[in-house]
Amino acid sequence: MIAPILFLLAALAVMSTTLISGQLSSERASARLRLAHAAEDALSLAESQLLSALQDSVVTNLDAGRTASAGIDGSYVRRTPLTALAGTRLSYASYEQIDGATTQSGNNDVAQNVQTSSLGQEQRLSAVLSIELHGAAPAYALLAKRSRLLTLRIFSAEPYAIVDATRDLATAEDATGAAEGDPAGRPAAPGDATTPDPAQPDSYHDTTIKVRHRCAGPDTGGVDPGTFGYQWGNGGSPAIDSLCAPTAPPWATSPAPPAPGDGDAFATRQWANSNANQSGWTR
Amino acid sequence: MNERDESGSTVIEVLIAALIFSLGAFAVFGVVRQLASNSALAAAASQGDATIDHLTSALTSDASTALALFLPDDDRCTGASGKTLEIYYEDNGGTSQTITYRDDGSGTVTRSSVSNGATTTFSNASLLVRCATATSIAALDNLAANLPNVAVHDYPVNFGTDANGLEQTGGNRLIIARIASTATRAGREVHLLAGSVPTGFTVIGPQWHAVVYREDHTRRFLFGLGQTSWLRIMAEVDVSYDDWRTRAVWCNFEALEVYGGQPRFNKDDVPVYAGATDSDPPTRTAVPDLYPETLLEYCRNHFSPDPPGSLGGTWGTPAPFPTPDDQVVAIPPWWIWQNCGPSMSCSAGTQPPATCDPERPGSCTVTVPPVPPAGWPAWCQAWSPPTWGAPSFGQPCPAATPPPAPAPSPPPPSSAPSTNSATWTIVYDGEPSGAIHIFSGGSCNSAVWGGICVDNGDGTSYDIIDASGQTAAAVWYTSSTGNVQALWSSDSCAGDGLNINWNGPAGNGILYALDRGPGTSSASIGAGGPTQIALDNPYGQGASACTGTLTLSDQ
Repeated sequence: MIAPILFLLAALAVMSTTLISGQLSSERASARLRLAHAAEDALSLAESQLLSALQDSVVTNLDAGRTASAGIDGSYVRRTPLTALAGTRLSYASYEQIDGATTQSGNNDVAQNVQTSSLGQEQRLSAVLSIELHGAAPAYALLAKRSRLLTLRIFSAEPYAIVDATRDLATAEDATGAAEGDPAGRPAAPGDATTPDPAQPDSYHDTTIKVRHRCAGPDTGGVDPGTFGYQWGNGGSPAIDSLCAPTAPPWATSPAPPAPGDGDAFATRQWANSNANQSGWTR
Repeated sequence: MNERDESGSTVIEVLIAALIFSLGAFAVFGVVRQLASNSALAAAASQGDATIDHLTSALTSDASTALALFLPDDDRCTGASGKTLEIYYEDNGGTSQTITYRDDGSGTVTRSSVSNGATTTFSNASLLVRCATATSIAALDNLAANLPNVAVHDYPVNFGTDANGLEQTGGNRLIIARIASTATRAGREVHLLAGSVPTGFTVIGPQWHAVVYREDHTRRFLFGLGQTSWLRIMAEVDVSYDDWRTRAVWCNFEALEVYGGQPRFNKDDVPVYAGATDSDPPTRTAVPDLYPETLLEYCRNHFSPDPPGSLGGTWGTPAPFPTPDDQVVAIPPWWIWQNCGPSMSCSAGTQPPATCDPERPGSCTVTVPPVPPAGWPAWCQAWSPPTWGAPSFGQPCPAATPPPAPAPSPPPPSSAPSTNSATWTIVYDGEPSGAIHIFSGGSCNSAVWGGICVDNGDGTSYDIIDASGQTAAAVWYTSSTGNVQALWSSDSCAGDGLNINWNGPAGNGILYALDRGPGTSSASIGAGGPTQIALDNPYGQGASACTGTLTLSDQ
């Protein structure tokens, strides 16, 4: 009788092991998927928070009379405390670091047609955003960590900062390095439409930020004596106020006046993107 | 020992035992097989989910770095479904690259990268993509309420042609990708948007205008024997952020000069002023032609590329080539501060932009009260920085020095709260004729054109008493330069607060309350008709009577 009993015990053991193993495997896979989804959510939340914080910083700078990128350009570091992740029993912390900026030297990202006018104050930045996923309490072990590279554009007009591109470090990287969105502003070509037209999707090319000054034309408020109080002629006749965009007279030495109020100051900037910079921080 | 024991198990018993064993063995085998099957199914489901997640992450990451996403079979975004998605981007070196996602129809999705020729395979997965415009998604999902102050545009932006000559058009197009596992029934839908947004908006700078004037110099030496006259034509570009309430010199430079015993020159020589040529052409030393735009360009290229105070914030109004995203530069804080004061201008001989250099921040510190001093114009109260005096970019002009604090107001009468008072100032530009129409009695809910009415929150007006002490249903005050005052009173303060209603040309009237913080009690007339500003009753509800002074300033 002992043989059948031993056989049944062995069969029971095999069955139990299979059951437990299968269940554990399934649970492990399920937990990893839940963690992956939670990490995605946390990354997106952190990206949104970074953008909001950047916009606030730019507005604060402008209100204080500083340049839009003061304190941000290449020196922005922000670490958020552990925060509960809604809908889960997890918490996350984010670490945000501006790594590359257009005022720093670099060799693998080029931004063309950056609007350097102080009215535009455009700047492109590279940033690294990383999140850590923990249990509900801070003392819980680190469960997951993910990082994302960002290209940002900041400028002195609303909305002050935008995310131009993001790349998840967990995804494939191609041979020529990480693509980080639109590093260059593309000016309109001659003959292009001046405004986007959905009916003609190929007619508009412009992704630059332009600056225009408004020509006020003749001042109707009275005589303009000039800075030093001189007036036109000795008889006290007024100075000459200008007309906007006049018609060129035949004796003009220039073919035509420049575009009215053109305040563009486009420039090319080169910087290192986040892949090339040493952040001093493991991501 | 009996006979049965000696005989051992009978044949039947052995057969029964064998049957039990066999059944048990089959049962165990079946259970194990089912468990294994379940585990395999769970593993397959997990694998399928992981594949979907992997493919979703790859698609999202690639899309968010792209200039354009499009379906080769539906480049015009009609909404037709397809199994191929092209992603166009620029790599770190600025070279155009393409990634192609394709469902081959046999349960495999491939990701092919042109940059290195590599292909990544996602097994047991399917991909179905279609294009949708941004506005259609906003309308479909009724997103307007979730996007305050945001206008969704279907702005296409063309990025030229790729190596195959195909037009690459991006912008606010959405690619809806449906990813599913062919091994399980799991699926996921993601919305893919190109990372590069069409930022082709314009920042509209301050107003400027150019002025040309002349200076006459005479040099005499040797008792007048060597007299020479020197005539200089000067150009000046001025700038203003506040519609010429105040202005600053952007740059001032010599444009033309003429020497001679009797240099002749008349303003008709300056093309800014259309006129005939002169037989005595000027010596051109600086600007080729004195057009406004050439003067501005010369100013920007030789002296100061940007106008004074251009570090200020910006927000939007229409542009020369208008798009809804265009921005207009607002009045810079330093500009406002330097030009603020009781008279809103500097005394004669002082020039704020010259002494208050925005390019040298922190050159002095100004100590001012934490709240707007009484008597300061409403315009200054509304536009000055929240913390008065900060930031400061230079010495304030004398007129910007805050006036001494007013004497404390007398305590309320002993019968309080039977009588209360409050003072408001209204900067009102709603009536083109320069008149202010104050009316009382009747309903305040629809103030007449150019009229102002005070009510207690329910539309019932307070009594307005004119300067002679008369109460009238409608009182016209005409004031083109100064202020007018009227008394208001009511026999009840039981309403929720005190409201001022007024009407006039859209955008023309601005109303401020003197005894409230800057920016907290102001409104302008909208396009749709009468506008109201609510002023909380400072003495609480339920007071038996209220009186006050209404100071009206018509600008």
